[in-house]
Amino acid sequence: MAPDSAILDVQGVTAGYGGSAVLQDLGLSVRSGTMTGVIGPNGAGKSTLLKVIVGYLRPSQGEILLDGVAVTGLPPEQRIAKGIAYIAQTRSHFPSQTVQENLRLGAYLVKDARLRAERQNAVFERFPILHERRRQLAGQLSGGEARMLEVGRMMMTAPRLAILDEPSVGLSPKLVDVVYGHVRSLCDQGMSFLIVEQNVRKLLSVADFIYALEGGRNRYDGTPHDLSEDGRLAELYLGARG
Amino acid sequence: MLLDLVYFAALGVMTGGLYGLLGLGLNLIFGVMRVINVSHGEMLTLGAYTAIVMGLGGVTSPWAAIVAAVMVVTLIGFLIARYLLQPLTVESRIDEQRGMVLSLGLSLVLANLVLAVFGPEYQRVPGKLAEGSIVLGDLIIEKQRLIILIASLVLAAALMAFLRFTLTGKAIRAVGENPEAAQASGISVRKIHLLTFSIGSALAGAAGALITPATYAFPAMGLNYTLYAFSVVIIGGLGSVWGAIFAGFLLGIVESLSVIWLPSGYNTIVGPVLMLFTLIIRPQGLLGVKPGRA
Repeated sequence: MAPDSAILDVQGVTAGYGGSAVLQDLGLSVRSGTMTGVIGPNGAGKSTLLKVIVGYLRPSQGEILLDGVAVTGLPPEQRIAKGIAYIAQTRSHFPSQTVQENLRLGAYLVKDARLRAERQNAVFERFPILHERRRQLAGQLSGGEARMLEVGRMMMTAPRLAILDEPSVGLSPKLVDVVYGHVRSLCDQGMSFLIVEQNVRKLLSVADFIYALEGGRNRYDGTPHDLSEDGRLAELYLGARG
Repeated sequence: MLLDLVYFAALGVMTGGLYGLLGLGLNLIFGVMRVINVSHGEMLTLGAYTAIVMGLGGVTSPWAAIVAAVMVVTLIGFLIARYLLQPLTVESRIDEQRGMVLSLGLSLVLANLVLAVFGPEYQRVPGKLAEGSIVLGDLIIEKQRLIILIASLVLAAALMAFLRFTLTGKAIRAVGENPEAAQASGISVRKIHLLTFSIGSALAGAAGALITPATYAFPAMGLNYTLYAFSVVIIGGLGSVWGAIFAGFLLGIVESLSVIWLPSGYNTIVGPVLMLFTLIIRPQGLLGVKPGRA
């Protein structure tokens, strides 16, 4: 992987809470225009890794590079300004504000009103249900609709790298397919993705590249195909073979 | 007797608006920053003493004093948020206990600072908001009290409109609801915290300058108002804007009516007693919702 084609580089990151390291010397990179997945058992440090990348948590060692430039010391909002987007596992929106207000807040950094209108139209085209419910409070949306709102909120900044923490959580299998369908099509339009997922099978079926973590360290990286072919790894991360 | 009831209830309405305004500021700061600001009443004290200083300096217009108080207390609020609360902020959240202990200490320091500078005497400002009274049959209401009520409501309405309709206001609410998602939207939680504390303090400062023409200023005046503000927030419901307004009036009216039955001087226990009853009967407050924040 040529380093110049990487939109994100995580280099030797050690991080944790209150002195205990959850991540140890972890490395990862996301190539521009790809969907990269991160899997691993509970407590492997997947969510912590995303927090370090987005900037909620400072690593004690290592660097985060965006387009080859270190952003390790920047707060989240400045990383957002540089083209990162992030959707947390649950409730990554503002329930007491309307759908439209949520989208407006998503475009908090976009000063150009015309650009905002354009992007909002793109969101409503992709998710007509959000257009229908634009005046409703986000808290009244169903789980699937809320996920779509979060994807829409993210689209408002036209990010180059979208970071998703378990987008399948709490959704029916059908809705998981719908959400990943949108992710795939956004990826095909040039948005890069880094996705953490418990639903390993789903992720392996859509991602271009996979990192497997164990105990906060790198365990495997390669294509989903190679991982599925490796008997021991498949058993470890996919559970019973099948 | 009936006339007494009406008269005292009317008086209660006059002070109730101010209580609501104080509760609103406290509610805002808690809702967004999760800081239980025990020094909220001291912001009112500082506003009142700004008005006193203006008076000593020869400025007799209470309106000029209010503007000055808002500016001074906004600055003080900003400095507190920037240099005392910001260092307690970890991962965009302020540790609740540390924040409360800090504000408790701050309330003692500020009250004693005012005592050291201005002495323990009750002080008045030279000007009045308005002269005379409005007579409605047997009901006589000081015009000044009416102005305090109206100004309190105007400030409360301005705050609500700001939070509801402006992008910055929406960002403030967004940080209160979900700081992580706010940051993921590109909102600086740091800046919103500074702004929120400054606004909350400014409202209390305005309240301080607003009441001095009708009453006295003294160094320990803040404590009572902190108690009122807490009562309003608990009775109305944590985070509920309309609850704060409603509870403000309720508290004002009940406190005022209590004068009829309670020996004088006991009216200050009305707020805490109402608060206690609310906590027993309806812990989430009259208009509050059960907590549900991630």
